[in-house]
Amino acid sequence: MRKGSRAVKKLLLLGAGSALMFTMGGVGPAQADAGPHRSTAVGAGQTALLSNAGGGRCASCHRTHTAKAEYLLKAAQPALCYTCHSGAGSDTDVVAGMDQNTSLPLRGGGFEYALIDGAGANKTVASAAGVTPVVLKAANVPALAAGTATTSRHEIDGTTAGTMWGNGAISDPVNVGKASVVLECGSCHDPHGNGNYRILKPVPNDAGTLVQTVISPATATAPAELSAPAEGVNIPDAVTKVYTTTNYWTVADRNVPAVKGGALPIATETDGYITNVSQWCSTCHTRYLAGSGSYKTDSGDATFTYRHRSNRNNSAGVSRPNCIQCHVSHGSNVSMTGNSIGVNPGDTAVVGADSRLLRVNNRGTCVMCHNV
Amino acid sequence: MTNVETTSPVAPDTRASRAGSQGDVAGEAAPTKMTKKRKGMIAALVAALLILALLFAWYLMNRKPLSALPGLSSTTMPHYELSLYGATKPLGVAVTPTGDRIYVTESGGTQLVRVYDRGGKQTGTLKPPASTGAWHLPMYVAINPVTKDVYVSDRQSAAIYVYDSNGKYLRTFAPKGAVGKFAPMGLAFDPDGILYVTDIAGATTKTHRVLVFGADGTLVRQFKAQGSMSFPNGLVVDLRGNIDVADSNNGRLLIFNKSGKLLSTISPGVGEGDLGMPRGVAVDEAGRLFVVDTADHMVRVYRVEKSKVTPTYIGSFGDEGQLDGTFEYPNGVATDKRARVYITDRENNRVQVWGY
Repeated sequence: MRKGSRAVKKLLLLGAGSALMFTMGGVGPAQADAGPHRSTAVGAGQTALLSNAGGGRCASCHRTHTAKAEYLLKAAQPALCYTCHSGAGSDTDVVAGMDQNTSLPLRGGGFEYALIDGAGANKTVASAAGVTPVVLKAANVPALAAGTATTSRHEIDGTTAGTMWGNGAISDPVNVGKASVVLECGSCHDPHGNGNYRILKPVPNDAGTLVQTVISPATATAPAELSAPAEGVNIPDAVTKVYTTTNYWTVADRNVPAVKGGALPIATETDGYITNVSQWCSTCHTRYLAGSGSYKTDSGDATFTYRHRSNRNNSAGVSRPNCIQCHVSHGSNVSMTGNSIGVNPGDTAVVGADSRLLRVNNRGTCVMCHNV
Repeated sequence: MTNVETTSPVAPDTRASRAGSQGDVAGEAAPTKMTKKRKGMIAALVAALLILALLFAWYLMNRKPLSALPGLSSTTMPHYELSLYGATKPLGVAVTPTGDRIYVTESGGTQLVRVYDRGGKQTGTLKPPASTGAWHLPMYVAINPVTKDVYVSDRQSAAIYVYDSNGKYLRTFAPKGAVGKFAPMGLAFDPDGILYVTDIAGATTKTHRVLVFGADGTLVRQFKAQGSMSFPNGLVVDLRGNIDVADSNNGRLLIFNKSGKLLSTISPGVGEGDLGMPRGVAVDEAGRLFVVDTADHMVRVYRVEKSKVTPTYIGSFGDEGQLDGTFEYPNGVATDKRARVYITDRENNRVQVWGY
């Protein structure tokens, strides 16, 4: 009976069979994060509390020992940056190319979409026909109400290897630029903050060694115009930051102060953006920076032999040939068809409908200034 | 003389007799005791089997794991089950209580809301009519528990679109009252159909706030956080009736009561349960609070307890990567009544389904 009793008890226990919970501690480390890009760097002679340095920001993006991407990042760019800059964490939506707070287009276009109305570009001339460059009463490249897919962009996916066109010194053998360059957001921008316009790095990644050269010699009335110095180009930041535009032909930014630690190329210039931006672009696109008369002067370069002026760095009047007058920085959605489809430098390949970051359809950029 | 067979009476077994006699009183009683005891044990066994059967039936009917039984420990982390594909850069997710319909906002590609069935098959899309504009960026989605309507916040048009449960566009949510400039992000409902919205309108973060709307769209109240929120994203009404808000760029979770008073904070930091960049927030019936930490590629799990204002951290799941069970910038989260957790895995272009 006792044996039988025990057996029943065992059976009872088995039969009860209530599900037992297994608890597992799914414990993982939790780490810090913080807000927008701002420098906490201290100057010479200054003192900063270490607890303030970094302000908890570092762990937003970095891991000391378990990083998953270069530069000790938690994850690769641009996905890291798009976490905020695609609408969910910032108004500056560089994917859509618009400010999500004001619904206005961003000056630099966008990486996936842009709102440049390249087909709607128009101008009103003040001077007689046949004058080049034309004196304009007004020029307008309007903005679209909704974005369309970009047809060219600085490819910042962190994976695609491209050519840094024109990088390097004047070259007699054909040298179209620096090959196999992989761009990311951080190639041009310093996410830590550096006090520069758009937190642009003075020398973008992979730009190489900068050697300053004379672009236009001094005249009786103006100093020599120079290429980027070895230490790079610091475009001063604006107190009033303007990220948007309604006219993609108005490219000046008079909110940007003219001076940052150096002499002005044009003493009377007040627009620090126009004054410096072509020089900044040429830190990478070295041989694209060309001065007055470059259209008829053999540069000595096998590829970039005769070049359109691109260093006009004063904002007087409307439409001056500098890099940013014709090109946007992030991405363009204008279209190129027929003979407007371009060829790579060095005549290496037809690039299809690539719009080369231009602002007007079908190379109409030319006739914004040239009344032909 | 007649022969009569007689049988001598058999002498009783004295031992047995004695025993019997000794236990005569007991012997008659002892079988009763044992029977009762045995009966009791059998009854208990039957009861246990019955309970098991009921549990099994309950499980079959509700497809809930036993871990979801009330009263049992809720510290277990879920396990990866499957992924739903087809959405490009998914951000927000909502699911019906039975899990038969899953809504996913797509921030890339066609920028629609995709609808899936329980098996992961896409069954439709939600898209506002052309009259609402040509360009949309759906962010978060929530289901009204009273009307079953589906609400979708749109970043490009700064609006909330409302669809019925079949996906038919009904209207653009028109807030009533002194709302001012409105840029809705996260959406959440309480059981009575009161709508909570994180609003990120304004040139600075000082105006970022939570808006509360009644069933007819009238603004009931609004509240901010001391020191201001910075791009608050997801929010949820937890089992205590508090509103838990992912103050995303400040790296914290804010717990407000229904009146908008800040009760507690789960802070950014390096400690267990601290946050990096919280985005989506959800609760399940077991009282678990799920907070997606997008920058850490993990989901933090807390327990909402009646005795404590601040939810108790119980663990995390996930890690950075592309394999099943790892994330690349997870964002939104939702739960159903089947103890399943749905997480949008933005850069892996999928929705992961985890279960208990």
